[in-house]
Amino acid sequence: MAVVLNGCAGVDYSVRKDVRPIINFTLSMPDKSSEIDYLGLDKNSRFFKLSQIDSPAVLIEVFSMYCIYCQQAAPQVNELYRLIGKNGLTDKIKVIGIGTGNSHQEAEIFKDKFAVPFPLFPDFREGVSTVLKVNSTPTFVLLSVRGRYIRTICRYEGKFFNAEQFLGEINRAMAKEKL
Amino acid sequence: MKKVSLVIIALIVLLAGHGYAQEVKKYIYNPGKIKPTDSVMRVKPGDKAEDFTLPSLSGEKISLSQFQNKKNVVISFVPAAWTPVCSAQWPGYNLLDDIFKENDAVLLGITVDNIPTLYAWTTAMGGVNFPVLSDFWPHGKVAQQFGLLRRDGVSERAIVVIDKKGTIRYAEAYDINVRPPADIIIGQLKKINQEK
Repeated sequence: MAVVLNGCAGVDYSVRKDVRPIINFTLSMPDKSSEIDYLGLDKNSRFFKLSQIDSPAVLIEVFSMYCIYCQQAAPQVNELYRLIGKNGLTDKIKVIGIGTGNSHQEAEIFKDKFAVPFPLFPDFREGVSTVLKVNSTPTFVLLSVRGRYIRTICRYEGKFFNAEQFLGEINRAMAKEKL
Repeated sequence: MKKVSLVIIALIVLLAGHGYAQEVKKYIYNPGKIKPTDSVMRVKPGDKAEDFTLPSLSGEKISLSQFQNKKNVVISFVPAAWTPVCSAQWPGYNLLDDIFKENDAVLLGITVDNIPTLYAWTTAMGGVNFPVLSDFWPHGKVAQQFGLLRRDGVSERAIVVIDKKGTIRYAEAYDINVRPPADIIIGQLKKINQEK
């Protein structure tokens, strides 16, 4: 059951908690070795499971190259990634993007155009987006990937305007989960 | 007092952004799943492309022949403004501008809508960075020329690639319910460029 936790006046997203476990889905290994290192993965594998990412929480942005809101949100999402690093939270939260309905080339075009500093993965057949129950883009899903089940800590639907404020929301949600 | 005013202005700006995001989605008409294709192509790769002239959003008339010996031309036919797949197709093409430049190509977007409708729709989508042409009157004449006019008066969702010599290199009508991946356009342009 989805529960509305809180929202901020004038901010274009809603914050929800979803207690249902998420299937531990598999992704192809990133092309860049720096991104493999960032996620703490084994370089010799071709695929990895979400739970193998080396952090207690993973923030997933489900985006599409074709979505104007995702394009508009890109600079703030990049800023969020930068703030996570600046605040020494990289070991706690890793950020990845899932390009719903996008081919590998389309996800790469989005990455190049907006200089996205975190790994993006194509989801051409929308399998991962279905697992994450995504209906619109961008959707941000903060997952706890430690413990018995992968579960959603928070979902954020829509673009956000202020990365610092958004990180505050993430930190509060993480603190509630003692992560 | 000054502080209160600043807070109110900040709220208006934020809420305006929120309103914008919701507005476009709110006005998209969803026709549901429709017959994948409903026309018979009149052109095939190797054919010489017949010239056409259509009014564009910028106010100028654009002819296919003006690109002859200058640019490769990619035409994206989409069925109609204010529909879900079309509204999630052209905004992505804004990101292909470097690829078009690298491949000496231009993109032309064509629908059977009239100019005011195209203006409202593309503005709501945040604008597009390629010429948008109206095939409204005589209704769907150019779509018909390519064999892409459906019986209900909208065009197919199609991609046509024409090289600098005016030869059709690729012409395909896709399932109207599905967005064709940009890989097709990029692959076709690279293929033309590799022949140099």
